[in-house]
Amino acid sequence: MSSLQLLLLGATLGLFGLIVSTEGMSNGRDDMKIEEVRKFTTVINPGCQVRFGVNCSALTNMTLLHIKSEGKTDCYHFLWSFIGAPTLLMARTSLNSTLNVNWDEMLEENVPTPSITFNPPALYSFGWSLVKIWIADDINDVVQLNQINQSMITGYQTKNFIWERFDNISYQNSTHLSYTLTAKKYIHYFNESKQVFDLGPDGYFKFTIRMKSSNGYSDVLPYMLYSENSTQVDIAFNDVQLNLTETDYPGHPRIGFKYLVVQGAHLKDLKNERMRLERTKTLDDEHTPGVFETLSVRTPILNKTDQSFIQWKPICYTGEVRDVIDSVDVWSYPLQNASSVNGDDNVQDSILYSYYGADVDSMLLEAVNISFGTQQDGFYNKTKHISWTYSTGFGEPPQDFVSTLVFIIIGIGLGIPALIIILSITYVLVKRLKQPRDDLLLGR
Amino acid sequence: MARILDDGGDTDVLTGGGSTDTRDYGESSVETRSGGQGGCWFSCCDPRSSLHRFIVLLFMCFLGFGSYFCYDNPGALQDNFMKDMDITTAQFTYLYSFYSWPNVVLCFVGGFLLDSVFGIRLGTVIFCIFLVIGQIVFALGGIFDMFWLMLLGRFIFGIGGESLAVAQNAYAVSWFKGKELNMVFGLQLSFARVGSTVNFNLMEPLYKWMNTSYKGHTCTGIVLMIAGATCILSLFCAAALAIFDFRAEKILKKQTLGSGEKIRLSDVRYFPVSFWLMCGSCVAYYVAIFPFIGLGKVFFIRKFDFTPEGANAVNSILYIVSAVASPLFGLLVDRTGRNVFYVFISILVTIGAHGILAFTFLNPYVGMCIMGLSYSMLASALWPMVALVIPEHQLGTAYGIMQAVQNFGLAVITSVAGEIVDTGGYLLLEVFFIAWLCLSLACTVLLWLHDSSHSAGLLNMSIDDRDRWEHDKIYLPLTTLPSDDYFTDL
Repeated sequence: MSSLQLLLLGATLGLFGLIVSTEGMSNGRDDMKIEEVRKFTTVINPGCQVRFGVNCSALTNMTLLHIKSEGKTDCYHFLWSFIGAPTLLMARTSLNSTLNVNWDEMLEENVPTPSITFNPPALYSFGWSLVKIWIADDINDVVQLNQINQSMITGYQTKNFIWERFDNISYQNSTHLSYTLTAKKYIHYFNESKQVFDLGPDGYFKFTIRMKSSNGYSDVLPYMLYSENSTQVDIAFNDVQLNLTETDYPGHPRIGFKYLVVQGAHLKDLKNERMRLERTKTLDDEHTPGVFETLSVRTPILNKTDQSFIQWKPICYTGEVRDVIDSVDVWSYPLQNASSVNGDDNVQDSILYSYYGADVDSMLLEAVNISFGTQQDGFYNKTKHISWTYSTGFGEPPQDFVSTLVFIIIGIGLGIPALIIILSITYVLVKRLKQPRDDLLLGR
Repeated sequence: MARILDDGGDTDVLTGGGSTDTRDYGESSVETRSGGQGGCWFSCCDPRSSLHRFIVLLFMCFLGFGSYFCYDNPGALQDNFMKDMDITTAQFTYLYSFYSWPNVVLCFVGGFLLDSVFGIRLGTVIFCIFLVIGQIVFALGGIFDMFWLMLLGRFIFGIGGESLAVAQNAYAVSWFKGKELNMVFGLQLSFARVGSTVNFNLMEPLYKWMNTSYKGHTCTGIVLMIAGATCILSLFCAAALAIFDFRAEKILKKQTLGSGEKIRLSDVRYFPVSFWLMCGSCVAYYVAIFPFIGLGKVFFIRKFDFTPEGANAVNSILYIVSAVASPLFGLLVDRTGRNVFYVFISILVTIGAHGILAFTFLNPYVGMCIMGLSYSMLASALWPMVALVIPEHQLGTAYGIMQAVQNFGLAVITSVAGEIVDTGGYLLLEVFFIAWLCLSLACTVLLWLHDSSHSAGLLNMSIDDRDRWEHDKIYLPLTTLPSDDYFTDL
């Protein structure tokens, strides 16, 4: 082996070393740093005894779920409401703050003063509410709702669903909780009267709320990251028929959701900052094979550190059992302004209005639309099922990180030839060192 | 492509078998035209004239077109396949696996069948018939929505495809033995690449066009049936070549057989370690290329936001680059030798290309072009190396083994790759391929080392050094004079 070739091998070795070391450095994430571990405490229907009696917390047809996540210096509150539109109100308060719910006022419609308060008031708040279901007739299979003729899209208010809480499949402890709420009936209003309809023969609309105080990946597709500041929401939309008559049901249905998102900050304090819909590209699709994108709704940062997010992967599943081959796309549309004055925005449907009151119009209030489907997927009718997961919480959305498996494989993969190269160079050098002496001895 | 002995360079040794009894219609002209048989006297009909042989060459090149065109049909339509047939990525990769399985065995048997059982003419036609039947069954599987039928079709197609490559090489040797053979092999290879490229760029628009009238699995089936037309073209070429060959044999009165390959499995125990290291290097390399192309379309669509047509175009870049670069690199290796060095460099560069595709969002054209160049370089340098360590009469067996191992590797690893995509995503798939390339690199370094210590670095010598070494090996022992011994005693 000539010196040049040895040099080449040495250079290759150096290159491998460089790659492995940069990989090692980038792998130094701070997951070893243990942050304050928060404890969860849950109260169902807080303060309802005044109006509904002693056992009102066990009532499964009424759910106001208060999850407190206590840390060392502050307390996170996650207030889930399935009274009216499904809503999550998140607030950060001091440790001694208590939640007061005025049930009488809250259950009455259009009360402009806040009926849900924290005492002392919250340092930061954020909330979202699923206010409307869109059902569109996608005759031309264009998939995206903003390309379908508006006359073919009908919106159904989510406050008209009747939600049941299933306590037997829910659980909670200080580090881990899961609640399931299912709606099987919908109330239709005709002028003055109302009538309760079933959602199709197998129909249900299910919300599963999951929280974990440790970091790690969920074991449900699309394997989103847990953190103690966030909660994951699974939505299952199965055989939901909201039409009044058979003929009303569209032949090519596409499903969409409308969310209201509000941050407890007055517009005049925010200057020109608004919420933004962010699309982040990731290299790593280990946890969601084939999906290299994450979308999130991000809020402006208040008080230097307070911000919130709603994050999802643009993928949903058309089977009860989630599988990659059953997946279709999730489409997100630009954020729009919303206000309680606009009846279509349905702000009063949710407890966001109960918390912020009429003042909500001076806050950062926006609407996000999501829809589901891929071209030529057979529309919602093919399986009559959509499963979708998103996560929401305080602070920055969790970042996916490349798993150790990848690093191990690359380390070993580059390591083996590197080792062989080292051995080869050593072997050749040793041979060279020995040779001249032998030559001298033999007179060559 | 796995099956062609990819090199545009020194292929004299590829005539293999060293058999002097192959027909050579090019150079010998023992019989004059006074024989008076067989048709017209114009030069285009004279089997010895260049014009006639050029026409025959054209048929020879198109002989393999159908096979290469249809081989990558699944890859070009991956997203449509998966939607229409409702299959996972792992199931999709079976379409490639089932093509490779019969060829683990056929690489040995094919040459034998051509030599002793069917003869080249009939054998080629038979293999083409397998090709056509295979593609038709494959298409019917789509029309009737039976995935197992598709797999059966690919299996039958595989039986025909790989053996056809052997036949193509045999015809080439028979008609163009001598200086032209290199060029002919190179041309056949380039044609094969062009066939693959056309497949990638044609199938998606064809599918879209058919999709206006047919939907779902029926559309897929019909598109595959249309692709089968290229196989019928191959069959037509096989028939034409049989006629030309038969005629030439009668006119020139040559009575020989010979695919140029003699397979003797008992030779295997004499194969040197260098050969097995080459084998390892070869398999580990190719399993990081072809399964990647098979799964590349959806990867480019999802990660880089390409349209299906755009993704297919990126996939085909590797083949286009190879069509041009293979002959050039072949020339380079012919002139400079140093095969192991080139193999080492090309594997390294391929690792870099996969790294770019996996860990950056750089335009995938960059990664794929680099991969195409390094792939061509490896092919030009690796296959001729076999001839440097294996004696001529065993070359047939050696290449047969290498092809068989390669097909085995492809059959297994392609399915594994599909599973990886379903469970671990594309990043993990790329890392998997990089790991195999590292293994290939390890084999190459070991080969380099072994060769340095045992055969004075023959595999890495320049052409001049190599010639001198060969010369010395034969003549040096004869020139040692007995008187020299007296001097060393003193």
